[in-house]
Amino acid sequence: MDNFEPKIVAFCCHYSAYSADLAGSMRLQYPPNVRIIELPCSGTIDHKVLLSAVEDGADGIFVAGCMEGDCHFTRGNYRAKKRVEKVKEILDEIGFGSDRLEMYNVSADNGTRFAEIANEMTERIRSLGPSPFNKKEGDKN
Amino acid sequence: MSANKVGAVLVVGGGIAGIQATLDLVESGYYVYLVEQSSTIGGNMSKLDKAFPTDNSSMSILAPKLVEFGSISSIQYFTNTQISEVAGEAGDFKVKLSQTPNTADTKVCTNYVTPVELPNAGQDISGDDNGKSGDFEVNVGAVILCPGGETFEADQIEYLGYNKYPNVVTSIEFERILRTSDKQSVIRPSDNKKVNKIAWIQCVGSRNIRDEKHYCSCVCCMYAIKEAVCAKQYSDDEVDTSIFYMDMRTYGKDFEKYYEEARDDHGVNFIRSRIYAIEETKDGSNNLLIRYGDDKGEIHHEEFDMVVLSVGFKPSDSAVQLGNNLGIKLNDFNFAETTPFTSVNTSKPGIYVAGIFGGPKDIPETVIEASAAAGASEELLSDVRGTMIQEKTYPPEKDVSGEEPRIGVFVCNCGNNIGGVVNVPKVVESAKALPYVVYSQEFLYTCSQDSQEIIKQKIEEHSLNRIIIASCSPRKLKYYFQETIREAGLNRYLFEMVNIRDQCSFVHMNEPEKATEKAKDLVKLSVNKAGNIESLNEAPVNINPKALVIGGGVSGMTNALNLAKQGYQAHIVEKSDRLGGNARRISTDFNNQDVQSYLNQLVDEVNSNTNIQVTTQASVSKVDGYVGNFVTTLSNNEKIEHGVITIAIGGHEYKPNEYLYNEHNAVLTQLELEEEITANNTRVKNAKNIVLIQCVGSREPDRRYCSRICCNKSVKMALQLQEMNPDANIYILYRDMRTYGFNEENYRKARKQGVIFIRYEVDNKPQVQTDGKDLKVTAVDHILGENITIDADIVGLAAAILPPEDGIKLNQIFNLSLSDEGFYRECPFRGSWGFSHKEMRPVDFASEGIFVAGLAQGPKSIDESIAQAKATASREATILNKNSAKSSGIIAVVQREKCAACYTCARLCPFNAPRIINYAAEIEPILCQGCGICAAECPNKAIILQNYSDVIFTNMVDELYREVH
Repeated sequence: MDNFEPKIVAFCCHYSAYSADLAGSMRLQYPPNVRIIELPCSGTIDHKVLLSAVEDGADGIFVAGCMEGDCHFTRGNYRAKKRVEKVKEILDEIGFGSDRLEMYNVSADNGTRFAEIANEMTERIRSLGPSPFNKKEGDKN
Repeated sequence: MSANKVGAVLVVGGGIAGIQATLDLVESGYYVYLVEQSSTIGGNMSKLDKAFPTDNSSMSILAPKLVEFGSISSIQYFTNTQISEVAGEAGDFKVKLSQTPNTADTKVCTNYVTPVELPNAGQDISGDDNGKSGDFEVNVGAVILCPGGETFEADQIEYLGYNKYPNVVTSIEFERILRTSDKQSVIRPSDNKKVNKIAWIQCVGSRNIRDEKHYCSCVCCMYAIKEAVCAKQYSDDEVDTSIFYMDMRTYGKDFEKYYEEARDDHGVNFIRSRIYAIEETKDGSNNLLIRYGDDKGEIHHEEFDMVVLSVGFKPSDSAVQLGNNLGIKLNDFNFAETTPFTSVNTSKPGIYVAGIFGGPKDIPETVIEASAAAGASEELLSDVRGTMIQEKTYPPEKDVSGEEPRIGVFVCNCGNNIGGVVNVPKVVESAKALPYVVYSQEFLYTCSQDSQEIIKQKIEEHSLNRIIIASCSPRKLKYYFQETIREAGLNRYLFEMVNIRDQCSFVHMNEPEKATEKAKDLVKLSVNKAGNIESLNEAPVNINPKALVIGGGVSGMTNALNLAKQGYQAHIVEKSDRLGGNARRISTDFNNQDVQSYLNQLVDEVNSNTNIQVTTQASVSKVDGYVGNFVTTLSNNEKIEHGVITIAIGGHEYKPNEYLYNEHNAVLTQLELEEEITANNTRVKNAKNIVLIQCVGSREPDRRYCSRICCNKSVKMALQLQEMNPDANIYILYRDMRTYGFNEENYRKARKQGVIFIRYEVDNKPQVQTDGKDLKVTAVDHILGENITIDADIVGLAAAILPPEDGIKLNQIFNLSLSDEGFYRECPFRGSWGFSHKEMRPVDFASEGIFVAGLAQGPKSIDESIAQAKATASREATILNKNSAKSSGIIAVVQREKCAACYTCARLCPFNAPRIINYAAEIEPILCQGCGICAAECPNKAIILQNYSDVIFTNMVDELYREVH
């Protein structure tokens, strides 16, 4: 378990992905466990995509949108928040647990916050261990 | 004016004003030369942390504009360049420029950390090798000056201790401290210790008679508040912040709320006191001691960890020299003077000014003026529009539909920025092994000109039909690379960009192996996606070159006239029986210019212009269609077809229900008093005591905004009244005198000439009483702490400016956004995704093709309304000059057979793009901004966001976790 390196998928809106770029410009160091998939708006994310990531064995998943009230498409991030909450409910219901999924808000100019999120999520998933659906890591246990 | 006009404009200064003017002009069909004396563009704005009042990051507003810049072919820009000589006249200027050497090198990465460096900067006019120094000449029809301003040198005021005590910094230095802070603490210069107590000193270099800088710098109150709130937000520990001020001038839209929130929610202390000495404590702590007197005259000593000097603006020496070279008139403070009722015209025809060089102002106002200056230039040069630009031509697009994907992956080393951490050859090798990848190679700099040629060759050689660039942030270079593949005959949407620098090598510098693994993964994801993307069409839409202007006041008429002079049609719809609006009731502006003669001239011009149609006594009852193709039905059943809409429906004066208004006939509103002054009424002329009460109905819980112009107006009226009757006593009862900018001069003059200013607190307002005949006004003199009573002959109330009466009704038709107060809410910093030209839009709405000008957007002066009306025209011209426009390719599309016409999409879309037609939703491509909210919410999954479908994402996730199964 000690050398478990989770693979986390992050669905970032265009603007919050900008904060990830900024973290780079600032040379902030964070664990290399996060893979960003960029969306036009966090409101684009569908329940189905999140659930399929769980099914595929993602150890951790997060969705990042603009700060509340600051969505470039006015309310997309609220839609995303609702969907993430719904999927979390489902994950709890099926006994998978909702901790592996999170919604974050980060503004485009806050590289520090992005690095924090990456750290926080990596730490959280490390302590949770591999996804039960992550067969490769799962086999090791 | 020259008979041989030139369809090009010279823009001087590469700050936000220069950038905005340039973008407006090129989009409207003019060629632009942009000259910047420093080595980078971005100006003052790039030095800021956040921009008030939205608190959006300054750089994230600016950066997308800079991106566009690199992608437009009809701009040539010169850094390190100055104007040496100007000859000629409006329409045909010959301008000599001189460029100092620079080191632009096409082989150097163009997307490196600082976003203000641009690709192809420094190319010189002769098409010679880049960055050759020397003199050259450009021929332009108009010149727009936006050299910006400098901040006041704080060390000139010795007693503030700047440059003497290390912890006294200027506000601009504090911005840098904020920008580079770790967002957990604010660090002071002397010992890098966290600060817990900071003071701001306002009006440093502004409102300063001693230094002959009498004017107010307009922005310092707001930025001090912003900085104080940021300092609190960026610190984990409690930070105590105090702002020492004379008058709190939060007069702009939404500024008053910002001030109240800072005071009441964030706990920023506001102390009304002018500071005359800052000293260091003697204990060696480098803390600072401020001695100040409070309202009651008591003296306090307070210690702070750091002191920020809110420095004002002044024109730079080089700008003054430029102004003198060009022979334009400068005012007493060396700012460029504008001619009355033009906002942007300098004393020399064909030369316009925008931004701080025309007077201190904030960012949105600067952007408005920049657009207005562009609008004025377009008016001057309308007959040569389009003569200097060449439409870029592309080879025909290859049809790759039905072809199997043939993916090319180009991986960037970025010098050593990527290659120093990520093993690039390994990434290339792993890419080659991925499905559909037929070619992969490494570049030292993918963004260099040579690399573009190689990419084009490889597309040809290997019949590539999907291109992936793995390099840096797509925000700057995506469009650039898309151009390359388009030049090679590929649809620009057959492109993916992976950021293995900012999102990989830069953030995992000490873990090269894991970084390489991550880079491989990111490329793998992108290859997977590339296999599923398709060519997208940008739907063309015809544009009807006509504007509907709602409201026939100064704003509406200025807007229509500017458009008409640019050659477009405008139709003004006015509710009342005649043109003129609120301006009919105003005698002079704040500079004592005659409003009525200007207004009559404007009305005549409007009536005689054949491009303008006017319908009075009518209102809008229905609007159909979308940008480029609106059909509006008026209340008289007239139908108008048009391409854009200007909302200029004005505002109106509040009718007070206090201070005996409506009960005593000598209690008048500002406009009523002004009418009596204009009519030279004897009761006003003979009045011995006249009391003007400020903030009547403004800055109250019901109306949490400042009406902006009333302080200036009362001061102006006081001076007028004094002239009518030098013996009259004139009192102005105020809360904060907000005579911003050069209006401070009038305030100073009024004080000097004996107008009596008495400050009151909102919880202890003046009392107006009557015995049935005479009026008595009682107020507390805050210096004496005693009541004073004035036998007033006339009481003038500075009544609030209210939002347009028809705002809500009209809004039901347009479905736009209104502020809590009822003014139209522009979208100052909003924008659509990708590379559209919309990041900063102070006169635009979220809905395409609809614009706002004048009081309907918020209280403002005539000059400010004129600037906004011209800016609106300029923004509209960017649409109207095109015969047809194109939508983005990344839009949502409906599969009709799956649609149940449930209206979910229509309800949720922020841009009103979906409509239900024949029992199914249709999404209007030109309105769709590609956010995908509808696609995700559609209960039946009938909507797909092109190239961002759920299937694409599910496949990507499957691919990412394939190895674990």
